[in-house]
Amino acid sequence: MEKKLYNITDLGSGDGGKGTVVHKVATMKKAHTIVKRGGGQGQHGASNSRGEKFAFSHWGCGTLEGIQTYISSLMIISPVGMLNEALSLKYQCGIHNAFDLLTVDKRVLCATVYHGISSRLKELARGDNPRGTIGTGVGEAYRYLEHFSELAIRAGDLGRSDLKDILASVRQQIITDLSSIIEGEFLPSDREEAESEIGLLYSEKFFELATRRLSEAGQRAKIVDADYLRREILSRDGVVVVESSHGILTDHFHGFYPHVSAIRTLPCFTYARLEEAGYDGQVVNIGVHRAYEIKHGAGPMPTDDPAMAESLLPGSHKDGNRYQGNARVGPLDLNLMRYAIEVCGGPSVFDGLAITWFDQIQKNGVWHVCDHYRNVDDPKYFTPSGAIRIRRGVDDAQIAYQEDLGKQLFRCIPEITTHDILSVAKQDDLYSLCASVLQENLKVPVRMVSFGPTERDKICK
Amino acid sequence: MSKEDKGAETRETFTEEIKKRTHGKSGPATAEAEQKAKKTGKLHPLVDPAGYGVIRRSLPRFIQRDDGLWEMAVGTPMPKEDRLDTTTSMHDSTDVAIQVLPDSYGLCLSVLPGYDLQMATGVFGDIQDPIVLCRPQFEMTAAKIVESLTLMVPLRDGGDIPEDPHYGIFGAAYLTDTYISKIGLKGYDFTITDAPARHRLDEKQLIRIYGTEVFKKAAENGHQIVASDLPSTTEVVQDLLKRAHAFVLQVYNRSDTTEFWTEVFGRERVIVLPSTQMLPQVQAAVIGLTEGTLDLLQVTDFLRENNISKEDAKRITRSVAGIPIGLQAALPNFSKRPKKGDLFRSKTDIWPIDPSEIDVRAEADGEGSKPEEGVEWL
Repeated sequence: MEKKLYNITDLGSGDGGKGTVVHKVATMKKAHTIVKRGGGQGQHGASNSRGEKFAFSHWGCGTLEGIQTYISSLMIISPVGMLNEALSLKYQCGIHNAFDLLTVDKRVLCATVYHGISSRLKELARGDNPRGTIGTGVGEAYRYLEHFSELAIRAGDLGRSDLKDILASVRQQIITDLSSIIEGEFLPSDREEAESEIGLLYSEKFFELATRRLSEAGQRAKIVDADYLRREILSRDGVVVVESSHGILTDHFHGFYPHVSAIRTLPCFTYARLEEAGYDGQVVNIGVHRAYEIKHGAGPMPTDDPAMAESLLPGSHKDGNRYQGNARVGPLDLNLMRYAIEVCGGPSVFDGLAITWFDQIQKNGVWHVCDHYRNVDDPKYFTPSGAIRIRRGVDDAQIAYQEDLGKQLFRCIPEITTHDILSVAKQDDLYSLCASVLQENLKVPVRMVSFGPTERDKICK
Repeated sequence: MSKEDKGAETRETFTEEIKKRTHGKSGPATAEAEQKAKKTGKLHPLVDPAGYGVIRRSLPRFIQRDDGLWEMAVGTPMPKEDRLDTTTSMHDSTDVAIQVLPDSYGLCLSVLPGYDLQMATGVFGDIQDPIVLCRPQFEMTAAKIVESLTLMVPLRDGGDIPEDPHYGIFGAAYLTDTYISKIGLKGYDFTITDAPARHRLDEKQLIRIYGTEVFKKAAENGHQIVASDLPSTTEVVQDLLKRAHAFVLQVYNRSDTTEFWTEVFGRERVIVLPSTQMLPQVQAAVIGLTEGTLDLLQVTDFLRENNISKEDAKRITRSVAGIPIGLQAALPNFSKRPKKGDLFRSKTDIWPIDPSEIDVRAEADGEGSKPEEGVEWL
């Protein structure tokens, strides 16, 4: 058997349904390992045909099947979140040995509880002008790494005898940086929460607990050397699946600032890591997207249509939170998908698309798709055909451009094509419809369409 | 193999764990949890009835083999849930439960050979109190069982009569998912109290205790509970009895207490418990008789051998004489229950595979450890 690696990339804002696709690919191809990259704050839901389900953050979406997870150096973890996730796996799924199924690269950056507090306080301080964050501190840990690298805590540091001192320095720096926010005003509805966060920031008992928990995570997780990926995973025959957090539209330099992640989400970073590890097997790239558009919280979303919330997210569209914001939905935006694909290097980069949540389209009996926008006259941001222009860069000018592009997108008016779905249509017919529409518009073949949460609900061709 | 897959614990490990958690500390082992709850009004998620998805699960411990099969690491999981009254005269029951824990575990294990004993010892108070119920997870290691007990928030004083253990019994009946009931056997459930309860549940209290998703979770677990037409305590107990051998261990001898619980559970399931100190011995006697690992003639000797006075041993024996003896052993699948080392195709399968299937599989696999290729796709 040959070596093969499936790289799963979310082509939207990160809510595409990657978890179920990773689970499907990992079970179908009998993967030996899932390699995680991105941030450990995401909630990748996976359900299997045996009735088990779980929302994974640090463990890969094949954990229910006993597939090993390797947390690569391209991931930022929350060690305390990891301990909690292990307990949830135990109590909700009966996985008593979760840490036996996990290895962590020693270079992995750790988000501490103080990064989480910082992230949440900053978002609360934005009042009614939210940026949107999950609030676990993963992005904050990355930003701190850029400015105060000496304060970075890596997985390999969790066993250090001076861990307490490092954490104390992290806390002190965060207190200093937040001083104006701490003394500032919050919305009346946020005041209680803000006070509670500030209280934790100064609490010595909480500090002691935070230190203990960090250290416990270091003891329980199997932390491995930098060569482990090459030596133990990529050199093995069989299948590896790379599971990334976030989506292309939240990439730090290609998302729409300020509604972006601190980290890079493009697949090229995975390739670089594979190359570095001397990987010589086959790589298969799968782009994931829902059959409709979805985004949590603020930011540009041209096809946003609140009237569709109940039909596309029945019963759950109000399940938002203060930090992430409510989920917004609308017709599938092929223009944004094209943009995401181009950002990644174009259609040839992808071997196939996995389209999720088509069962909801089937239930609704109608599929709304946006192929292009109106109000796209500014040639700086749009091509003559109306496609979003790509600018490449990793500097402040790039961020400024992306911010302006986001503003332009707010002004776009989507043109919607509606496909009626006959009630007698079979899943194969729907697969064909989905494949033909997307192939024609995106030039990437559809290779998986999902009609439900489990691996058995997914048609692969 | 993880620490948690190594098998049953010993009394010594429990004694050590208790020492570790109480050494050098003054006051009860639960003092820190009590202080925290007083300050925040919240329970630790491990003992909060609403924590970790509300449903309490007792599932087998498996080790995945290289050939993809799942090996039962310890034995058929045997859940034992206790809820201790912590009001007024029973204010110190949690402290006693911690003190007698090594015996509780050791004696129960002695009458449950081959099982994977999983314990969840919770406490209850009164709906007038800030904390009505602490409901831990089913735990199987000494460290976690002791940790759970130290996270309890006993009421200690206050409370009125009647008390409110029926909210805990509700959870045991509808918010518990156990492997043992899937194979047609039953776990154990004990309510330890000196007071009667109430006949009715209140929707608001259920939501307060188990969270807003309580009815959704019950439905997910196979029980359609209608908020506007809640079952009575008697009906809840009847449902509990479908999945557990459930008993009330009555401390002291208030006649209204006996009357209430006899009406709800039936005479044969209300047992005298001379003092909470004797909880391990009485529970072990009840379990042993139900499993058929003890017979009635042995009970007095069993109790005497385990430090119960002659007089108390006689009282307890008289009290347990009426329980449904041998009921577990009489269930059709009793002798078929999976044991340590049995192999399962999937970890959610109910029954292990037939050993003959393993040989066929090994032959079909041919080259043994070579990775198996998945289906053709990309």
